[in-house]
Amino acid sequence: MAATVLIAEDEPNLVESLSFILRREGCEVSAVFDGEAVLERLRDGLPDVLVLDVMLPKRNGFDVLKAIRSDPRLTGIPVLVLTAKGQERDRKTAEQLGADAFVTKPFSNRDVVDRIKRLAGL
Amino acid sequence: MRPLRRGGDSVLALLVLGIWLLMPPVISLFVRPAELFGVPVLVLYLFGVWLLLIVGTAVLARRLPPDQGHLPGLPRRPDESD
Amino acid sequence: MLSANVVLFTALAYVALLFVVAFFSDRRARRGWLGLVRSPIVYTLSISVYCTSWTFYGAVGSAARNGLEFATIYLGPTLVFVGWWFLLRKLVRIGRVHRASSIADLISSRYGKSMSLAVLVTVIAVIGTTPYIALQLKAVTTSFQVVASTTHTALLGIPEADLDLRTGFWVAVGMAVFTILFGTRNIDANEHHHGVVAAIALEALVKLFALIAVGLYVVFAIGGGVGEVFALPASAKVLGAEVFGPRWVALTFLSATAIVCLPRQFQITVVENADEEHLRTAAWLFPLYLFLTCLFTLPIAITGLATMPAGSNPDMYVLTLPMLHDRSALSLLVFIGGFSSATSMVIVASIALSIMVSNHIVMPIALRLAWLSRGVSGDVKSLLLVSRRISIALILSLGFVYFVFSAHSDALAKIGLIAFAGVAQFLPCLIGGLYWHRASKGGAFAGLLIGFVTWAYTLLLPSFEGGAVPASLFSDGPWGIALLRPEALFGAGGMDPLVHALFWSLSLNAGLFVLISLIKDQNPLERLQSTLFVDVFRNPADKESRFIHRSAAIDDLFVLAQRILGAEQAYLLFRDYARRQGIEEGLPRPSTEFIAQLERQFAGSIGAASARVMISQVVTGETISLGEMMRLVDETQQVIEYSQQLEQKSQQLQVTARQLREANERLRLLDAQKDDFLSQVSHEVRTPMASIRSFSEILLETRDLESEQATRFLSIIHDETLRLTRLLDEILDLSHLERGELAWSLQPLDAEAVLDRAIETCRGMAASADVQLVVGPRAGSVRVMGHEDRLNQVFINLISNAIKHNRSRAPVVTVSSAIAEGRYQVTFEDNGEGVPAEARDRIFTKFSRAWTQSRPRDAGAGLGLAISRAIARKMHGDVELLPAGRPGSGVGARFRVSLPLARGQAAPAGELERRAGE
Repeated sequence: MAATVLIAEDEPNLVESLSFILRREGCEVSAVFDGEAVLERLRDGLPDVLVLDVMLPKRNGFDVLKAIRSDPRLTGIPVLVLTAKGQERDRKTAEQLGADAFVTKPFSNRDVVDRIKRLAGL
Repeated sequence: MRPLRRGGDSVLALLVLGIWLLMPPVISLFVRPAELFGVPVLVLYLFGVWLLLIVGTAVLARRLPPDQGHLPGLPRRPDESD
Repeated sequence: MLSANVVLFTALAYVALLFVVAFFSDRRARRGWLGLVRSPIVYTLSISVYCTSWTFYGAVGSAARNGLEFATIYLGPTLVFVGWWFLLRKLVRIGRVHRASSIADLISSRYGKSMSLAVLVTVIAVIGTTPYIALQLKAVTTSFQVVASTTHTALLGIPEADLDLRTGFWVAVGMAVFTILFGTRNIDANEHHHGVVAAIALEALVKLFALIAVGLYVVFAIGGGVGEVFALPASAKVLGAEVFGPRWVALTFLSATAIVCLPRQFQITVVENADEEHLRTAAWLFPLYLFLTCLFTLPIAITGLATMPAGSNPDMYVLTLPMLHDRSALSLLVFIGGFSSATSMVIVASIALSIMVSNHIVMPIALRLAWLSRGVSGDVKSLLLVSRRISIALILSLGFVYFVFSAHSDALAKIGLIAFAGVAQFLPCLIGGLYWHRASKGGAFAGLLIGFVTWAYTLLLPSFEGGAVPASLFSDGPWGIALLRPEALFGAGGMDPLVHALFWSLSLNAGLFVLISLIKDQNPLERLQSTLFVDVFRNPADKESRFIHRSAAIDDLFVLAQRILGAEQAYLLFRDYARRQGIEEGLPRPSTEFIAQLERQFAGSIGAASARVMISQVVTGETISLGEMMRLVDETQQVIEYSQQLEQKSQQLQVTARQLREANERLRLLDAQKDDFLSQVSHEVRTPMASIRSFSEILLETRDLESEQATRFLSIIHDETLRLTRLLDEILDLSHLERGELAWSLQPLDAEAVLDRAIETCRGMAASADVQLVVGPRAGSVRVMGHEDRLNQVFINLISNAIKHNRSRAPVVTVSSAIAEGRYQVTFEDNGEGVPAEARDRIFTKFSRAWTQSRPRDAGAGLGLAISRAIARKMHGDVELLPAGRPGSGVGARFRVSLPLARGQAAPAGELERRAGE
């Protein structure tokens, strides 16, 4: 069974590389470029995994995560948080808000794919 | 009791207060026919202030620091003995 | 009714008791058993010599006439003792350190051991005190006649014409004998008159006991209670007296002065003080004594007015009230109490005066007339003792004579306050001498003299009115000069005579004292003494020897000491000092210190001025070291400055601490900004790195990659490396700009040409982004001071920002320029959404792209505006965001670059006209 992954990332190049490696693993990938779009897209249906960048335009990743975890309909989505700041503070915030995994840019493709698969229950 | 570090200041405060309380404008406030315990308030006031100064000075005198190098009575003459 | 014999016998028995007490106290003290005699309580009781028969009888009389006014006489001293820490403590310390034998000696010693000043003070003291002694004699005489009278008419008081002068005479004789016996046993100021002090303390107890006894009797036995007494109609009359005015203040001040300046008070408080710590107890115990003394004054006066037959003398109520009710024992006690208060004053006053007369009048005359050239051991001592005994006899005789001559007028009644005002003349030079370094002998002498003369003229003389003095003097003034009328000096009439006299005498006194002190310089000895007095708590007296260098033959000194102190005491003194110098047998070395100590010892006996004269007779080569003295003054000054510096330092420390806190706060802020910056840089670097790493891994791991795809991935990697390089360049650029390391030479350049070039550069970018680039009104040719390439960079940055961030459907960017407010201004305007209000404040800070709604691919790192502004400021210009246009007006973000014009740049004509119109 193929897993569906939603990528929320404003860097088009990263969306492209992530989509490439995930599709190669057989996942269905879709992408949004800002925080508001994430929540909008989730109304249409829930992905198996959400890859969420922290520095998103309009609504930052932490804000989106908080909204997801406080919405009973969305709260079960496994979320992998991506950040470029790489600070311990951000990791803690992500954990507190209920992120399931945390990855710092630049990342290893293998690592990200493994984590996403694990989150998708594959 | 702890000796006062700047004893002079409290003595000065008491002194100024005493002088002020005994100045005619303040005393004149009590020139009225009222009585308390059968004694005119003017008399009570005057002697009350007086007593206040005495008690205040007694309290301060105990708490003022001992004088540096004060001269107690001269030593007895050496040829005298008890 | 008491018979005269019973009264006489009781009085004699009481006097005998005093003799016994004095005798045994003296003997105990001589044997070293000081115990009770030296207790603070005895000291306090002896100070109550202040309360004479004028208090004992007169206070009630005063209350009957003037209500509460009597209290001022006791409130003044109360205030002085409340403030003991400032004045009395210093006075006692100085008196003891310098062995002052009297107030005259203290004043003379302070002003360079001046003989003439001592004489003047002594004369004033004698003139002021003698009538007061007469007053005591009169009181004893009157009270004796009243208490021993057999008729009820005596209750009215004894008419002055009927006074029995013999009583007064025998009282005077008795007091003279007592005083001579116990007051002149020795001549040294520091060997106290223990016998006298003990007797005075006993008398203090007796008079207080008598007053309280009669008070209790009057209130509870006659009056029936406190409330009842104050309910008497006489109470309203007594308390209704309007006394709270200038006279109230003047009397309080006067009595405060008296407790310090009266010779007998100085004698008891300073000279007879056995231990400075006793003052600590007296500070509150003496006011308490005064309080108790006054407690029953009002009730007695009220009851007397209400119950005594009309015409009774209020001054005798204390005695006549118990007599009216046939209380013989109580009457006798009251008589003894009054007798005590009179005799204690007479004894102490005559001792104090005799010391002053012998030391300051007899001794100087003896020295000048060379009576003492014989040089016999103890001759000075015996001269002093004899002269003191004669002085006592003379002073009492004088008092008696005064009594006889004024007995038949009421002149004595007012003498209490007149005497107070007389000795009050000592106040300016005494206080000045204690607290003011510059106070000089000339000033003290002139002030005292004018004060004394004014006092005598305005207060003493009028007390003889109707007697020897013609009445016309008072109504018209001397030689008809109205301005010099004694009771309206310089036309200042309508005042209370006492307030008038006090005002003129003390203000002239103090004024002249200060004036002459300021004009006249002190001689070296005066200067030395002034420092030793004013700074007594900082300078031990033995420092004196540092300044006066002198030598003498030890034999001469020994002979001198024998003459002044007597052979035995001189021997003991020299032996002690020799031992202190380590010499077991023989005489001490005549060191400067020893001579100084000897002079102080002599001063205690014969007064500072005479001691100095006598020492000078045997001393050779005296020099007062001015240098040393200046150093002393300096040391004192240093101590003061040091404490001020400490205070300043602690203030400075507080300021420094605050500055440090502020600096720390700034550092913390900077640190937070730095952290923020690093975190931003990290983010900006990591983002392209993430793409590069991700695509590289794809390229490395994917074998079956189509070449088209591989090429695309490689080009992304390439783009991202360029982006990284650009970012690092910008960071370095900004860092250099901020640190000011870039030194450009600013040159005049054609700004419009630079702007044109920038617009041209951006045309391609605008076209590819479908943005219409419009050039609006232009300034024409303008020269500014700047750097061409950098200015170009700023313009391009602003235009490209406007193109990149314009999200309008038909995006337009307009560039226009003008000269306004003396500056070249270029405005970049777009029709996009504008800068969100919450982002306006921080768009010029680093990495602040938050205002962009979404980020286009080629957006910079958010350093562009920060760099542009830094560049413009380097050129003394600025980049600002203009206020937002109204929503829907089609105006988005508007940025303006403004630069100062190069010198010599003529403003365009329009601009000139506009300015001229302003």
